[in-house]
Amino acid sequence: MLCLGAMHRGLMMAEPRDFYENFAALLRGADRDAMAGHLENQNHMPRFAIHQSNFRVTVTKAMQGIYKAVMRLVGEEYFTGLMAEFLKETPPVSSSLTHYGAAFPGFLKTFAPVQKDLPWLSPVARLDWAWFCAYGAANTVALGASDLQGVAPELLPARAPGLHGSCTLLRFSVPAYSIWRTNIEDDDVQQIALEKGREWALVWRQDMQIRHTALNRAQYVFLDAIGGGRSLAQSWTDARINDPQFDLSKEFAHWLNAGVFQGEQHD
Amino acid sequence: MTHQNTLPACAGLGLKPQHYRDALAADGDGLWFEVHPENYMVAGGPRLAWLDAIAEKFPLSLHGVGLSLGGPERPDPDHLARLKVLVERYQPASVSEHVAWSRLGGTYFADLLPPPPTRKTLLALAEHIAQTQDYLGRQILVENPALYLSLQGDISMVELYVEAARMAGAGLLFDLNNIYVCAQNLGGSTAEWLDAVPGDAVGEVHLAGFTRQDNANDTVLIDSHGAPISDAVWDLYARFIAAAGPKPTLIERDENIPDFDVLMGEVAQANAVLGRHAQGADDG
Repeated sequence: MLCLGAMHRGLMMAEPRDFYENFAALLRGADRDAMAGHLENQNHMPRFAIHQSNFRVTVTKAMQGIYKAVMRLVGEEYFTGLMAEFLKETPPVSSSLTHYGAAFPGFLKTFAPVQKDLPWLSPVARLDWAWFCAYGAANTVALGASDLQGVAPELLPARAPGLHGSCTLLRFSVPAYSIWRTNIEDDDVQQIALEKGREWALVWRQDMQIRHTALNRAQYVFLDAIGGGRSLAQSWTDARINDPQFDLSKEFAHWLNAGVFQGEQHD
Repeated sequence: MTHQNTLPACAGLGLKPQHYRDALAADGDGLWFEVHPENYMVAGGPRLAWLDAIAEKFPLSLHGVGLSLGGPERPDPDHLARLKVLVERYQPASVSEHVAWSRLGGTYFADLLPPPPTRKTLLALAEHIAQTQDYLGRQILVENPALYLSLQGDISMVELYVEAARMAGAGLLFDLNNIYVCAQNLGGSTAEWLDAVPGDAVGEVHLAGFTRQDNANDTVLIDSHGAPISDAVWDLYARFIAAAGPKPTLIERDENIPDFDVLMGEVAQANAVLGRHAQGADDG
């Protein structure tokens, strides 16, 4: 049976679901016309721009807090433009922006204008993201010298400690670590020649301190093998392919002291 | 429902990372801090460590911006789960959210968007508040929205706010800057809100500053939290506290953030208003 009352009301006022769908479409870039039927005062139409701006600005500010070196390298205006494109492609899915932005380095790698003119930007962004991940990583215990006191030296090489959860290992075909480091640490940014070539880096957190360092290729291979679950002996073998002089005792002591190995967790 | 709001009826301050050291060293009697839980939804690290230390010393309020209670979809289970982790970690004195929406079809729009003021929205909003309270195992407060758009509906926005909280058994967080902004932007009056909001149900008051945006033929007050609290809002505050009695009161500042001491000046100003009426209550 046709209910005239409901039909009349339906004509007077759009259904709430349409309201949300039309509003969301507007925030994604659709024009405002579809929202006219939801407004009591048509003079307020231009005010939808406030909400369109809030969405863009809030996300952009959150990303500026994460991608600090990228922001310094390209400047606020260009960064805002990049974010407008990124937001169209990858809008946030989580209501906490602390998890947003992982896809930004990948976006920069494929976004044509950046790819052509700023090939080092995506690698730098990967370092910004690694810093951010280390900052919020779980407070798990790193392996310490005291954990190994009872371990017979001959049994040590068979151990496979794994890397601490805050660690990100990175390798680059451009000197991205040098570019990133000077942009986050120096008041006067150093000139980095792209001819400097390949670089490897590690970013991690030791207690509450975010740390980062350049690696040589053998160190990268060694730590990458450890991170993949290989034993110290196996990882050493992998590293010596790149550097026959790779000193396991020295490297192990160095990285143990730096807190990059995963410790045994006790509740 | 257990875990009612236990904030002291004093002034507190929105906690910003640049003020962590000052906050930890502060010694205000009755001082408390409020944070957006969304900024602390991380596994570990310095940010949580700072909040641990500050929450050890001061009462804490978790004021959410991401549950989208005013939307057509039920609160995101993943977001609720992350919120519950923080509620269990800190056992905060207060947990609150907004009468607003921010999610649809898996996208988070990072804004407090206005819901349509309809009976259908009212039922959904009350249901979403109740679902949140059931999941967290405690009462929450819900905050009235700052509005820029006059939306069609079959009830008023104040009715949506008060009724949804009542139906769900929630408390009210009453933002006086928001009612000022609404009245100026939509041509209504603050009295419409002050008269309709039951003082007994208000568990917390918010005070903040707005920014004036002048467009071609239109001036809009933006709830920016980017300026000192206006004289008009201080007046509303004095009137509300005189009528409702002392309430936990938050000084909110999220943009153009000044030194900690400047914000503590606004905390002291709010405490002076609260003190006058606590005194009045004692005398009476």
